[in-house]
Amino acid sequence: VGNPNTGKSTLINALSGADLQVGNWSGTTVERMEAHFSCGGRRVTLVDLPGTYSLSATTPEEALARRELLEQRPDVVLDVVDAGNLERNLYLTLELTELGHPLVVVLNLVDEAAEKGITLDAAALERELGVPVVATVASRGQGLAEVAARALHPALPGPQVSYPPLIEEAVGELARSLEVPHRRWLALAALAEEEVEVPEAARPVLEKWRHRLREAGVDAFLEIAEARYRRARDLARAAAGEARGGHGLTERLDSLVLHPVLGVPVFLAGFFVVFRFTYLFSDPWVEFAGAVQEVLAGWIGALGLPRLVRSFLAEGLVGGLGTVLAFTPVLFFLYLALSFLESSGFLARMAFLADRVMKSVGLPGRGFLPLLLGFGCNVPALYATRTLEGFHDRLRVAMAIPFMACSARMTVFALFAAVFFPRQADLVVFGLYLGGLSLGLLTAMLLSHLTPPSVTSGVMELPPYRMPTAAVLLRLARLRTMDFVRGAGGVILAAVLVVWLLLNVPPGDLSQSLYGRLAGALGFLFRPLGIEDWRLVGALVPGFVAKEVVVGTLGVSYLGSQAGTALGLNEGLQALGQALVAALQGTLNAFPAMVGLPQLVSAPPEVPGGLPGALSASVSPAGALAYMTFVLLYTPCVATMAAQAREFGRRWAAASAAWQLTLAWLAGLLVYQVGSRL
Amino acid sequence: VIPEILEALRQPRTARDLAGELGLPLGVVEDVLRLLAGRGYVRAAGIDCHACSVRALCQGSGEKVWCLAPGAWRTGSPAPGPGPAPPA
Repeated sequence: VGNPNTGKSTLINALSGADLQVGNWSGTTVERMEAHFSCGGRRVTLVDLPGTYSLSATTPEEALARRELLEQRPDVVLDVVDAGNLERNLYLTLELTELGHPLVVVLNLVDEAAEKGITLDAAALERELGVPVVATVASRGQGLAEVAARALHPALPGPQVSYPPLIEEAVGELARSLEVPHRRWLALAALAEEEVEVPEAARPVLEKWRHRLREAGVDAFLEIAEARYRRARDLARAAAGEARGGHGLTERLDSLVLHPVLGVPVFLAGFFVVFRFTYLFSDPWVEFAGAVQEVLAGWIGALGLPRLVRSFLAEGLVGGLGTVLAFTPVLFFLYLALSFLESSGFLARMAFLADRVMKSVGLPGRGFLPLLLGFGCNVPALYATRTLEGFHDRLRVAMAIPFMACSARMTVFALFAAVFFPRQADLVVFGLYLGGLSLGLLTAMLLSHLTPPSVTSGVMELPPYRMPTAAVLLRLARLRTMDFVRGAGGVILAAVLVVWLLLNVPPGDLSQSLYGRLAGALGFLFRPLGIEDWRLVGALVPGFVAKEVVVGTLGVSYLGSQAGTALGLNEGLQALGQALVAALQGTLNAFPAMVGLPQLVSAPPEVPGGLPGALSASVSPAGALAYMTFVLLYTPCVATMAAQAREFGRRWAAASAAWQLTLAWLAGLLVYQVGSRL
Repeated sequence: VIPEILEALRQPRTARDLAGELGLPLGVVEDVLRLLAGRGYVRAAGIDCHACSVRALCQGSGEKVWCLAPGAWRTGSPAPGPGPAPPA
């Protein structure tokens, strides 16, 4: 337990090897999470609770933390304290000492405190509090062994705060009538008129003392809070030296990043770097995955299987599922870059900067965080709108979220941008992301004319800047990429099966198959957008289910018409070896390319083959851009529609889908008509 | 801590102003204000941007200005500790 953003989840991950969600902002953990590990021959269950500033429970997350502490009776409480904000954090520590649980104080983030010039004396704090105090840097594994060792021998804290005599007298008498382990805390909370359950037998005593305190003109709530703040201040002074003067890293960076004029360009540049990094580093590995796909299809072709089985394996599974998996390097590097922005504290500042823009379109400032989450996946972003007050505020943000380019759409952008705009791929995708964001905000602005104004407060808390370790970033990127693969795998496999089946009924010319004729029937809708190939149109239909399916469907329908070349084992291995060398060379070249320097190793010329080659022959660059625009804006997936229906009702979900389709078609038309004339 | 903050809020102020004037960590002032606002002692009076020369360009949220909540302070209830009693 501890204040928000003090590193509780990071500590648990470091102690137990668990993969709990971590992030550099308040409110990363919103529910009770568990992790297990062995310590000193004992199996230990660690419970991660949402951050809370006190046990007053003013938010649902704080109420959850309080309920857990009061009802579950933990063997030991680890109070994770931000060493750089000791006075603020110790208020909760003092409340915890009154609960009567065995306690260990984990003085985390001591490195950040040192950077602020704060000298800490953990031993002095331990003497004052009478419980073990351990200094740690959880993200770097410092002090963890001592935390584990001392958690096995915690101490029961004694009373830490001296309240005014009348309150002490009241607490003494009331606590004696309460038969719970946390009786001192409960007596104080009841006298302060907090919402706590007091046993029937103790009610007369409580009423008597409330009356006496009122008679004496004592506001118990203020007196109790004041006494705790004073004690927290004294403890902080005893344990931490004064910070040296001058501006810390956070202040210095914020003067640039949150600058009224420079702030937005700095962030746009930051996001552009994210896309450049993603493309430069993932491209060699996408090529490698494509080569693996071709070799696998070649080996399957050489097996001498019946035509239908060979077709299913080579064109259905390898062509469809393989094409999607080939783009996982893009997602991995995108997640890696976004994890850096998130963990370092830059992402929270982006929400802060966007506040004014959000308000100008009738959205609450805090609504920008769900919008940002939408860049990962629209569904959790929709649920994240629950943090906003008022139905109409939530609705406006929820209607804007489907326009945020989720990672599933990234696979389509990555493929088309690499094929049609290889030199400006990062710029094109960056433009699509900004376009989606702008149209989302436009949607909200239009809706703000139809619904009542915002009621949600725009004030948000900014976390300090932190340099995340490579291990943390790699772990986050790996977990999120695996989530995508696991989540999308089943849907893609099912869609690929259906599409492959429809493509082979009747066998022969694919354009005359059931799938080809269905897709062809929709062709008239997309001709004005420069999209004439039935295979491109057809892939948009299963794309309603999930955008991950679009690339897989394209793989099945395009590669199904190409006769694969059978490969021998040695030929295949040789091709794989060459592809691996090329991928490693490409990665080496990505480093200087990030800053526009010449390549370190000369890369072999690229010859588009397989799906990229087939795609480039079937649509013009303007048509491809219109296709990407349509994919960006039309209904993201069935799960997003279902989440909208669940949260806001079916009528709003249907209206949202209709608006998305209309806007997607109009924007695609505009892009093609303008693009084809340039 | 609390008496000083309540006394200072006779005039509306931002949390940052309060922290600067009273020599308290900003986080502590924010927590105290959250606590007091939760019990109706203080309230946010608005957002302070009017004095800012770049407010037309600014993307920031501004800062909440806090003041005493009218009538919220109980009659006859002195401020805790040594601080002066607030107005009824």
